[in-house]
Amino acid sequence: MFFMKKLSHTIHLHPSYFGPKIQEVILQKLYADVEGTTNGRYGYVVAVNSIDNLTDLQAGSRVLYGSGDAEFTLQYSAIVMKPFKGEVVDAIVDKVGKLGFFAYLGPMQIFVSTFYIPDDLRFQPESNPPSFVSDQAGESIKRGAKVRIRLMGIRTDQTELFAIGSIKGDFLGLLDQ
Amino acid sequence: MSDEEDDRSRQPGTTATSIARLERDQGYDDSEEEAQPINTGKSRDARREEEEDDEEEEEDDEDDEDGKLPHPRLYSNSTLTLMFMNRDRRERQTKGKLNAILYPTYLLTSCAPAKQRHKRSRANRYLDVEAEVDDEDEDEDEEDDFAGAENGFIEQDISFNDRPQDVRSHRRLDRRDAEDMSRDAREIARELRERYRRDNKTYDGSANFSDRKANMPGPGDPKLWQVRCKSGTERNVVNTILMKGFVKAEEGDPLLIYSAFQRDSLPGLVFVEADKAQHVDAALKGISNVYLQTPRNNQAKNNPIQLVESRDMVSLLTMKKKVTTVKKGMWVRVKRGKYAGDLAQVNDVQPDGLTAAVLLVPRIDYEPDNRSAEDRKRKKGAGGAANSLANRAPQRLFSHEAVQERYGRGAAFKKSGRWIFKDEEYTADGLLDKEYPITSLQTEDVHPTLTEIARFGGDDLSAIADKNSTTSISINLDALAEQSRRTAGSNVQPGDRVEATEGELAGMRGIVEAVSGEVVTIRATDSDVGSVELAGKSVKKIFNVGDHVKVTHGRNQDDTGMVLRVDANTVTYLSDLTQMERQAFAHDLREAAAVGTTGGRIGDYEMHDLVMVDALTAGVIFQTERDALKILDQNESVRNLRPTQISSKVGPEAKRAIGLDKDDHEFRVGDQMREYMGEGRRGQVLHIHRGLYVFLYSKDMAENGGIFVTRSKNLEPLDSRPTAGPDLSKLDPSINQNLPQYVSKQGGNYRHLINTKVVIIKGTNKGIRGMIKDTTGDKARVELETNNKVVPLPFDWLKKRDPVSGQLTPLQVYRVGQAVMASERMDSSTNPYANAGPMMPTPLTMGGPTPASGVPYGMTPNPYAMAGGGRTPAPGLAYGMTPNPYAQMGGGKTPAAIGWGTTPNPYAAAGGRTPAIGGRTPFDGGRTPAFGGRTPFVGSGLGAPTPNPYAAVTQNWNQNAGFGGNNAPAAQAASGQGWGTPGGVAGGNAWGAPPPPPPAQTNPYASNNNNEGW
Repeated sequence: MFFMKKLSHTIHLHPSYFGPKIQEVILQKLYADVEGTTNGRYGYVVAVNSIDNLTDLQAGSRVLYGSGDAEFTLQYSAIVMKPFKGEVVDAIVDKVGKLGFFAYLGPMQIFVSTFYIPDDLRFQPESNPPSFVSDQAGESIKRGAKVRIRLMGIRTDQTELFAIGSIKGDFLGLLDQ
Repeated sequence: MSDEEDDRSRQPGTTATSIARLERDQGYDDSEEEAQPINTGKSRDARREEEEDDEEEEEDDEDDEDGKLPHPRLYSNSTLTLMFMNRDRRERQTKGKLNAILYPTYLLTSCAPAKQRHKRSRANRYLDVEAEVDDEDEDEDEEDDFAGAENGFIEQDISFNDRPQDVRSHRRLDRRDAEDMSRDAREIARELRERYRRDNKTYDGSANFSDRKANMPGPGDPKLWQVRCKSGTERNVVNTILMKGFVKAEEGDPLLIYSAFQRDSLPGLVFVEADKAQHVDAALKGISNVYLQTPRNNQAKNNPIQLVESRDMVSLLTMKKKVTTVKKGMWVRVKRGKYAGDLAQVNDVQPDGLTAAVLLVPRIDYEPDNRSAEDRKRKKGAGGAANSLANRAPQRLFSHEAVQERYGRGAAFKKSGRWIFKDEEYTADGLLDKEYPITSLQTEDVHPTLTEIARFGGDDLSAIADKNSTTSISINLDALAEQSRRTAGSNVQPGDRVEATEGELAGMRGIVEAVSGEVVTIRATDSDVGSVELAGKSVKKIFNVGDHVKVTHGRNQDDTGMVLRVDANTVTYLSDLTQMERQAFAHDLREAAAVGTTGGRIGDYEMHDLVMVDALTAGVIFQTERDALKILDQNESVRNLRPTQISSKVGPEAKRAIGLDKDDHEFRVGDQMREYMGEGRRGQVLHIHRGLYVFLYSKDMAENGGIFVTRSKNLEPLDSRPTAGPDLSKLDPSINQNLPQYVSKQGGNYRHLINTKVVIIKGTNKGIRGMIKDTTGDKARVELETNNKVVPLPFDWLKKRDPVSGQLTPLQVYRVGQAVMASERMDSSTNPYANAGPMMPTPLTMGGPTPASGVPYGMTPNPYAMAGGGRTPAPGLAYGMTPNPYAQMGGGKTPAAIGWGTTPNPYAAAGGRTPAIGGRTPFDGGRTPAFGGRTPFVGSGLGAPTPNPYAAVTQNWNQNAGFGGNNAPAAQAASGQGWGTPGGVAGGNAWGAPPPPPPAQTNPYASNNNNEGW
């Protein structure tokens, strides 16, 4: 699920950057630091939407003793993606193996084990690319297919999101191409 | 054992007689040495029975025995045999006997009850069964085990019945019978109670038996001496002492020792009970394998016969109660032989309880030739046995086809549904059915792992479960889990989710609140029972799908993963590290933090660490098991090593290592790279070893945990997105550009100078020629041509000498692309470009590496790299080292860019590749034509596309330097066209695709700008 979340980030700036472009520098740094990272609590930061205290940056900043660096605390709102257990998501299949398949939802990798693939879908090792093929409809899950998955468990690392999911259930599984 | 205590005071004489007589009666002689001890002294009760016989004989000729008794000490012989008897049986004796075993001396006497006891036992037999139990109950079961002894007893009994003098005992019996009849029942009951009470006082096997102290050996008691002997011969030695005792006694010179015994747990030692060390010495003299000589080099143990301290005597003689309950179906491990350490399942236990038939996964050698050859080779070294164990064939189910193929038809044949091969039996399932003595089976702490069990079914666990009903080997995973759970103890910790498995709360789920010992406090979650206390063994852990778990025991210890499926006792999880499905017992798991950990740590080594496998080989750990690491080494081979086998771990400084890719661009740990040739694998750089071998990690690869190794020169950068920009907590690099900053030369890399011919220009060796052999820090190790000496010299003292022309040029100390400058090299006052520096808004491109642009001469330096500060080495076309008079313009040491022969290139200063047009408007006053009438370098075909940085730089330069660059045509507009023209003719016209801009005439720099656009 996506959220607009207010977050804050602290940046240290060397005095040599103090100048007309200071704001630009700070923003660049913020984007570089924050976007694309995963926070165990809030999920994956997709993009910074706005910086709330840009106009009065100086108010929240100070010069550190000793180094002369400036410390800025930026309040910003960002679009974050936080997956939840039980959430149903649409993802794109990336890798298919005999144990199941991996799908991607943006930065999140989702593994769907054969335990959670309906029984009528069978792994076809000979097929190229490898795929799960259904007995009846002739539909197949292969690389690039779009699937609807229910998330069963989520692990968040510093840099990545990982989940296991299931396509066993009503309205889950292959989406119409 | 109050009996024995009483007996202690008795004279052993009479019994000694009986023993001696017994031996004589039974025709004891040396030839029967092997068989005899079984009859004479296998066990106490057996002997006691015999004693009873003797008593009977005694009654015949009691008189002539007295007086010519053998020395009472002879009696100890029977104790020798007692100690010598089969330990297995010994240990199966029940606790009642332990007392006797503890104190051999007393045992001797206790074994020697004379007539008093005889009387009672005689009576017991016919009258009072309880009485017999009273005395001997602990021996009952033992009697069952010793059919031989019992038989002997029965025989004796019969003969006893036949004897006429039995009348006497019959009479006694009758008399007592009558006495009993006359007493009232209460009295009898009291008497019985009395007896039982006394019986209850017998040694109960516990260490805190109160009478124990009284039984402790005192100062007056014989002492225990320990003597070294050859390891493995202990039993023989004890046996020999016994023989010697008999012989000596016959000779009338009996040994003065009381007993001798050995312990299996103490190899190489024999213990002798005697009053004095001399007695021991006398008893052991002449017995082989006993070390009575003082080892010369061992000063500490100068006396070969050592006294055992009295407090040690007890533990020495304490037999641990060992209950070997080997049952069909249980898992054991083989201790010795080819299958040492292998898991086995008990298939059948022999009635004697000594041997068991077990099922094993066979290790049949399907490649005997290779292996034995290898074996032979190795055996030439040391430790053949160890090697053969390490070299044994892998576990594999018996395959008739494979055997037939390897050993020929008929090597294995079928007999009643089983295969017989090399005298060994294999079940239809391919398992080896082999008999082992139970002593060579490990029955405790077996801890079978799922993997091992899976081998019984051909590495397929589910197959076993399916076959469960049909196979002879039934693997009940649930039972197994239960078993190992019980042996491992409850493995719960606060916070675990558990379910009660036993008791009235069975099925209740809750969260563990506290664990104290074996009691777990659980807060129920599915009912409002509140907190309950349960035994740790009656709860099991439960997991839900999606839980993040960590393995706490077993082969995959410390692995983490996400639960995929939960069965009754096993949990299938997806490993975080390998993304493979694995199985584990629920009790071996515990919930891990949802945030993944790196995990996989053994000792100092962690997953993805760079370690030195040996002095020359480095490798990366890609899989960690319980006590083994899987390592991919630099030669792309996978090694399975234990942490101890790793010579060292590469320190953290290796993280700063820099590699050079196929274009000689630097890359570092953490960069995304792709293989240039070969499979085109891509991954993140984990380690760079010796700047040559690069270990990369790719999530998409299954093999070797995603780790692969390649040469650094075989890598190219994956279009990496620009790095996060300059480090904002450091000085702005653009300011750096402006400052004439001295950068220590020590940081430089001078390795490229190796094998350069140089002349020394300073110091004692001034004028001598040499060659740089090595560089260390800021010094070069120069091998002098005169005397082959290698001397370390600063680079300042050296000049490069052209081997052909003999011309001297300064060493190009800085490697291309290295954005380093030395202040002393820079003269900003004379460098017009220096002024352009501070205004440049894109500092990063300034120092950036210039691609080689395909010129076969390697690196084309970017003359603008340092805005005039850097010394630009000759670009590709520099044949010979032409000194450039304009060097100072371009900053320091720019040799001719296009110097054919010795013609200096005046335009080099303005930036390498800008000769043509500039040639028409030389700002140097037109001293020398740029190309000397020769074909321009473009025509030579060497003119690869101009690297882009020029364009960017020039533009900046134009804008900021204020040299009229604004009037110059757009750099990009003209770019490439002129260069694209092959075989360009000499002269600027060939380049003249764009018309010479008007400012060119007036401003030499403008024309340069124009050219830069190329």
